[in-house]
This record gives sequence, C-alpha cells and structure tokens, in this order.
Amino acid sequence: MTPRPTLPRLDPAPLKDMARSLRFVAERGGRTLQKSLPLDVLPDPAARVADAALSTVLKVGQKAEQGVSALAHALLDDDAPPPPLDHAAEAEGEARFAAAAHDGLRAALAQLGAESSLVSETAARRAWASVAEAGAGQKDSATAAALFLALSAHHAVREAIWPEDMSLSPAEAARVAVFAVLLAMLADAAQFHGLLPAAVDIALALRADLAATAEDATRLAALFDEFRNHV
Amino acid sequence: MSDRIDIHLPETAEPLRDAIRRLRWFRQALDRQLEDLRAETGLGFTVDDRKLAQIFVNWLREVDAQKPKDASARRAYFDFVSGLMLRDLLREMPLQAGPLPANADLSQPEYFWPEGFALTLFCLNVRAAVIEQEFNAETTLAPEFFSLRQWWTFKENVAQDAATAIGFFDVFAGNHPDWQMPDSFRHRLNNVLLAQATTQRLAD
Repeated sequence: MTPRPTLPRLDPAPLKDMARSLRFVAERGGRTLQKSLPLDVLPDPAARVADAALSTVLKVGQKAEQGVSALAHALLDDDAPPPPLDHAAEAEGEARFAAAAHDGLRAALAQLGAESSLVSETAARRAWASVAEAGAGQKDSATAAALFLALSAHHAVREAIWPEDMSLSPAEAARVAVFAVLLAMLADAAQFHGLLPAAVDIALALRADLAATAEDATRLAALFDEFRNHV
Repeated sequence: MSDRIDIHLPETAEPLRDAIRRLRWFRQALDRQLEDLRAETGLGFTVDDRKLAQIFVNWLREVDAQKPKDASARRAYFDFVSGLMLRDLLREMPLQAGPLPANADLSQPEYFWPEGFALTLFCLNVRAAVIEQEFNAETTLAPEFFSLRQWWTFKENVAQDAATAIGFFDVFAGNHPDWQMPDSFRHRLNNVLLAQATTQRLAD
C-alpha cells in the first residue's frame, strides 16, 4: 500500500476573518439601514418588505460566519487557553494566541460598550509571529508590551460599532481592550476567560497611563508588571 | 449584630493579604458582604463596577507608595490600608442602595446610611480576616459602631473631608485615631510609637 501524502495543514485564520468580515458588514449595513429607514412610519406593506430585507441581510452574514466557524472549529480547538507569554516560541503558540486574542478582544470591546466589532485573527497571528522572532528569552511582561505594540501596528482591532453616547474614542477603546487581553494572559493564561472582565476594568481605570505610555515598550512592560498580580 | 466580627469571605488558596489585592476576589468579597447584608436587613444595593475598579487601582497604588520597609510596622499598616480603602470607597461611592424595607428602623446605622454602613462593615471584615490570618488575633467592634450619634458625625464629616473616614474607621475598630493627618502612614506610625513609649514610661 502506498502511504498517503501528508496534506499541508490549513490555516483557518484568514477564512474565519473573511466570514467574520461578512457578518460584520451585514450587521453594520443592517444597523445603518435601520437608523436611516423610518420603518415605524412606513405604510404596512413597505415596512414588512423592508424589515424582511434587513433580516435577510443579517442572516446571510450570520450564516457565513457559522459555516466557516464550524469548519475552523474542526481544525483548531477554539477553547484552548492562550500559551503562556514566556513561551513565545511554542509550536502551537501562534494559532492558540491568535484565537484567544480574537475572542478576548471581541469580549473586551463588548464589555466597553461596542454593539459589534471586527477583530482580525490573521493580524493577531502576524503580531505573535513578529514578536516570537525577535523576543526569544525576554521577560514575559516585555513580550506582552511587544505584543501590545504589534497588535496595534497590525490593526488587530479593525472596526467596532459604538453607541452614540460612548465616552471613549475608538482608538482609546482599542488600546484598553488590547491591554486588558494581554494583562489577563499574563495574570494566568489558563484562566484567561475568567480573568478578562476584571482585566478590562483595570485597563479602563488605567486609560490615562495607557495614553501616556502606549508607544513606549519599557513603560508598558512596567505597567503590565505593576498590575499582573492584581487582576 | 454582635460586637464580634463575622467573617464570611470567598475562599482562596492564597493569603488574604494577597487575595484582597486581586480585583476579581475583591469584587466577590464585596458582593458576598452585600448579599449577607441583604439577607440580614432587607437592604439591596447596586454596584458601579467601573467606579469600583478605579477605586481599587488608585488604592493599590497608594498602598504601594506608603508601604513601610520595617516589618514590625505590618500590623499598623494593615489597619491603615483598611481605613484608606474605606476613605476611597466613601469618597467615590460605588454603591447605590435600593429603597428601604417597610420595617426599616431609622435609628439603626444600617438604615440611617446604608451605603456607608455596608462599605464600613466590608472594610472592617476584611481587616479582621487578614489580622486573624496574619497575627492569629481576634478583633471586635467598638461600642461606637452601634451608636447612631457616631454615625451622624461620621456621615457629616466624610461629606466635608473623606480622609476623616480613616479616623472613624479606627474608632470603630477600637484603635486610636489620628485626626491630624489621617492619610499619612508615617504620621500615624510616629503617633503609635509615641503612645507606646508613653505607656512604657508610665509602666516603669
């Protein structure tokens, strides 16, 4: 019997990002239409038609994401915790980090008030790859600081829909969310999801510090060290 | 309510002095305190989590900034940082009490000032638990804790100057308050050392 050739492993991140983009665009479009179309004052047949059209748009986006998520789930255990940040060279690290960063960033943005958000898992993978190359052997808080800068540089947080009375600017909210995700990973990667809500509130309380230190890796690492045991 | 402090805090595998400096445990401990108080008095509260986190972060930074190098000052420092926490909580006030129960007796401190009472009791409970664990010492509430007159003064003073909360906290815990510079640990420690020297002189 001839041995079967080993198939190259499929990277699900770009596929998942594409489906999530569809979902987000449909959702954003639906919200814009809902705001601009006066459904409540339209006469009944027109209102029903418009309402049905909106629902269809939203369903298309949701179905696209569900389909690809099911496929991606078969390829990668989405519930796996992120890798410890002092093991940046770990083989599965990149995929595990990116999946956790994606879910964590969306949860953090939602906690900050975002009605919906688009986060790129591919960008998170690139951020991890760039840090893993350069940062072998460094302290985990230095890795977290480098990841903070890399996630921002790769625009991991693509877009979010915010309520009109939002007090944070989108850039500030993205900074807070990224810091919170990395702080929760540093505090205890195995309990990442449980620690995230407290990490978000700590990051929010530190928003003035973050605005002042967001470009400075040394000061960011010091801020991570100051609060990693307090989540 | 007895003068013994009932300690009913969430479980943790680490020392309480460390657990209280973790936001997640801190929140759970406050939630449990409020739940106990609701069961006992019928008072309900809502908590502003964001405000609570801001208070917590500011408190952590002050705890670190004033931390003494001398290990013999630990006990006094635990007393001090508990009062400091109360000052910050009362100044920013993360709680809102719901309507009083129909049978509320307004001559009782918990109904007279529900938010202040809940937060003071929380800080006293945490202090008691830490002191019991760290020093194997039991703590009690001073009689002033049950005096409505004391709570009137407490509430009025805190509205004008939140730092006085530390002095009232000391009174309730049975400690000697420092009214001059209540939020300076160095000043407090000097007073403690002075009082100890005086006691020693009198004993000699």
